Amino acid sequence: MFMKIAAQRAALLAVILGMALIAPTLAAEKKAETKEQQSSWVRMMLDEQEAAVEKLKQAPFSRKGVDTCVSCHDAENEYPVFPIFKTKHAVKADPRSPFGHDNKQCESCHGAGGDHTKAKKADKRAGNIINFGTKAWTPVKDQNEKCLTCHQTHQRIDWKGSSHAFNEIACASCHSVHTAKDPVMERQSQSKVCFGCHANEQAKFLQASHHPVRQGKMGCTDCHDVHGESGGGMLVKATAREKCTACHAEKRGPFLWDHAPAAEDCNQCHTPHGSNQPALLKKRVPQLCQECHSPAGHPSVSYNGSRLAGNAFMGVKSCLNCHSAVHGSNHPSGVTQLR
Amino acid sequence: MTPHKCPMKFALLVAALAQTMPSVVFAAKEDADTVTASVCEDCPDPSGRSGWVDVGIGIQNDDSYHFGRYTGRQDQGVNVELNAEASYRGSLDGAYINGQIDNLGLDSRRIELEGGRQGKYQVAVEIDQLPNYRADLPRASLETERQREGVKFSMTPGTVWKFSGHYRHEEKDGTRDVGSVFGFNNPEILAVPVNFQTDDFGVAADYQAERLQARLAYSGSLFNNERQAIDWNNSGVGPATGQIAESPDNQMHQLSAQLGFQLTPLTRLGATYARGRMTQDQAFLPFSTGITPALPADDLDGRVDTTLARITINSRPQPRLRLDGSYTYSDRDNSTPVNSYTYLLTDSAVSPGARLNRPYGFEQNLLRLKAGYRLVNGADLSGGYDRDKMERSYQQAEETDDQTLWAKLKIRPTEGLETTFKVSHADRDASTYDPTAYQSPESPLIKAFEMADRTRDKIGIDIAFNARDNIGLGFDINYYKDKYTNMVLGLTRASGITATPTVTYSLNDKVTATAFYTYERLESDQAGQEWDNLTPVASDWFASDTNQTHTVGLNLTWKASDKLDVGADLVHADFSGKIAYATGGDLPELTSRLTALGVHGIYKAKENMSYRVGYRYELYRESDWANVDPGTVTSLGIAPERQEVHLIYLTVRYAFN
Repeated sequence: MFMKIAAQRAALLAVILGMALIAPTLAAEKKAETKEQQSSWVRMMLDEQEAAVEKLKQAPFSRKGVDTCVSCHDAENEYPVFPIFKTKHAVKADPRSPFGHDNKQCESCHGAGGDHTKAKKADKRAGNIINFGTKAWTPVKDQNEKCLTCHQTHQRIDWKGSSHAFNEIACASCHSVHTAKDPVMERQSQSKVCFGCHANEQAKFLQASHHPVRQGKMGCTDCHDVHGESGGGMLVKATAREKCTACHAEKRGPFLWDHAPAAEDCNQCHTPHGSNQPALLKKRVPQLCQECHSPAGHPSVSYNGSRLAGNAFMGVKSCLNCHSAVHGSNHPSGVTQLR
Repeated sequence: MTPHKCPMKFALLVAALAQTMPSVVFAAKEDADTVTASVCEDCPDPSGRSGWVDVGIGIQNDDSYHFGRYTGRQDQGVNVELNAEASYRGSLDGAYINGQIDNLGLDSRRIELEGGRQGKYQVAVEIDQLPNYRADLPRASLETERQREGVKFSMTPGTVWKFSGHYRHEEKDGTRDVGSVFGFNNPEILAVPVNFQTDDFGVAADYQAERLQARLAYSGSLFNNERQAIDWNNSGVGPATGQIAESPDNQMHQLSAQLGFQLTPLTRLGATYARGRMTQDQAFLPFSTGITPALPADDLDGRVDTTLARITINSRPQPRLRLDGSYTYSDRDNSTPVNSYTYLLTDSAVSPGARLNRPYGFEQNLLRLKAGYRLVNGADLSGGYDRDKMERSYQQAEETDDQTLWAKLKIRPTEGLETTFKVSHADRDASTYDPTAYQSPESPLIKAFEMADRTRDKIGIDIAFNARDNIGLGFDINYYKDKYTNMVLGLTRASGITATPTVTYSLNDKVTATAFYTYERLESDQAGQEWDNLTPVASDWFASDTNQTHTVGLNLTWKASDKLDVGADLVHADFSGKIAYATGGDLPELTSRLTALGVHGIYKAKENMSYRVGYRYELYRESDWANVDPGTVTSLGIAPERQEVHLIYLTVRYAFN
């Protein structure tokens, strides 16, 4: 009898000890899987991703919404999510907000989480909820559809025809929803987000003549429509001239004596991000002007180094020493922009 | 075994099971199809107030217009450093107020206040100053400052409609340099006051339903110049005074409508239509000398009507395929009256003949088609065709026709590595160019490059590699080449290459470093011909322009301890510009070099108090052949070729909530 009870107790103890030993290993694997599982889902073929998204559309919602979510995704979780409660997304009084009355809270954006919470293994769990970001398994168009459910308005009406959308840029590539402040929405930090992909432009703003972007007084979206395609070069206005003269209105005109390139497109002479020439010009004056002008007399002269000494056509502002109204003149005598 | 007979063993068993099977426990709870009311007891409560105030001083050792250009730190001395943020959020009704103050002690100060009830209404006011310290010259300081005050509001009656509006008033004051001349002798650079005012305003209505989104908007802009003329005295031979017209007052108004409609779950249509009008009717300046030829009108009565019409369609007929198309019509209809003007040559003599003004207008028709297909293993192939037809009035080329073909291939050869190849070819036809059109005084051999035949080839490679979780590498290179075919005089060729490698490295969760290097080289060739009285007097000349810039940047952040954060950043930009002539001497090299270093530390003394200390250094040097010898130009002087500054700042931050 004793031996039978002892054997039973020994077996039970072995089970308990075995589980106690396995648990930390499983926990470690859980952490490893948390990183590994994401890349394995990313490696999924597109067809598998599409199938997983379709399956998610049939999934049930969790029973208690955010109460369910925060029981795992708490303040100590590897992926901090709590800062969202400081943002507009978590305002209950706003019926448009995910946390507004009758809305699905976390599952408004991440999709129905019933299967996510039922999944026994961490890798299955990750594949049963919509992930956001450049490294997420969820196809970009499906990520973006969630955001567009609420945000396909204002300049984002044209998102689906835009360059960023065509190049499969996810909203979450630029936007941070689970942070108290979204860096791309702040003028002072916005450009750093854009430079993550547009690295060449960062150096332009360090050149001698530049718009005040790196000083935090302008953001990329002051000129560019990043969610649409209003004008060429993804500008917020239909033409570059319309955008430039919104701030430089003194050059808008129309003038009595317009300067043709200034009336058409500022980019014919200027390079707006940065230049090592004065006033964001592409090239030095007089060589810039001589790309289009060669009438008889001084405009056609070769202004090379041998003619530099004491030459009023080259020193100081060169052509603009006299032709100061280069953007256009409203003076009856301003035919050649001298007045 | 029963719990009441072996409580300890039972507890151990439950504990062991609980460690290994949490998902089973959760699965037992979540069986419902819908979310029931959530109380969210574990969610943080964001209601209440929070914020911080940063107060301190900055000490700068020397003046530097370059350092202070947009920052307001142009002067040697002590500055007050004051920044703050504050917010309040109501617990139940969505009420909130956010305030922010930046650089209150500097000329680049900004104050913003936003509040309302989220989901109902929102109002924001902003005061923003932007200094622009261009050059500190011996005879004048060229600097301007913009001060903007603005208000924005929006109302959301429900979830479908949103109404918004904005108004902004800007004043730009300061001093700028303007060239002036009488005849061909002794030009003089004048230091001229700037007094500009610009008022921008607009209202919009946005509609958002499940399949249809729309926007109707009006925007307007009024520009007012307090000065109509620049008058100066002639210090040389000729008339006693001269007069240049200042930029005239003008207005711009635009009404626009935008529509987006999800035709099917896979296909979306978009449409945009906008009509605008720009007007300018400032009275012409009277001639400032005793000679007063009759003018055909008292003012220009200038008017330009703009039209923008665009339709777009995009579709994903199957998950791997995406198709986009757009057609844009953009028109600048310049209906400014054309008149014949007899004018004065630099206030000295009547022009030998009258001139007709040219109200330039443009009409653009732009077609864009593109398609993309997602290949296996995350690869993607896309391509497109653009056709851009431009018609111009009063210019030598009535029409230019630009066609572009492009292709892009994105591949993921291995995990963490993504490479994109881009290539494009564009061909512009400007065969309608007539050099004799519109009484042009130009050489019949020159063409304006924007209206000339041109081929443009571009190629680019973009590589992003996450070597490990803590190392990110990037490389972006782009090259373009323009060839202006059929060009005898003018711009004949242009090319440019930009390459940027980047690296981001996280040693651990406390140390992160990022670095980048950019190489940029821009080249262009142009041809000219000296001639006088329709007869060439010298041989053709050829010039080559080469601009080369090296830029390096490094950023480091280090969480030294729970109480101490340290950061550093360094940039160096080195520019060289050379203009070489095939015959005749090359111009001296143009250079500009910027070196900027910043180091800062944040020490958290208490939970709600921290000390910030920082050091910034900037050295800017330039050499410019145009400044070396002003010749016969009476200038305002030469700016310092070297500007070096050290700045130390110390602030205390108090946080409250």
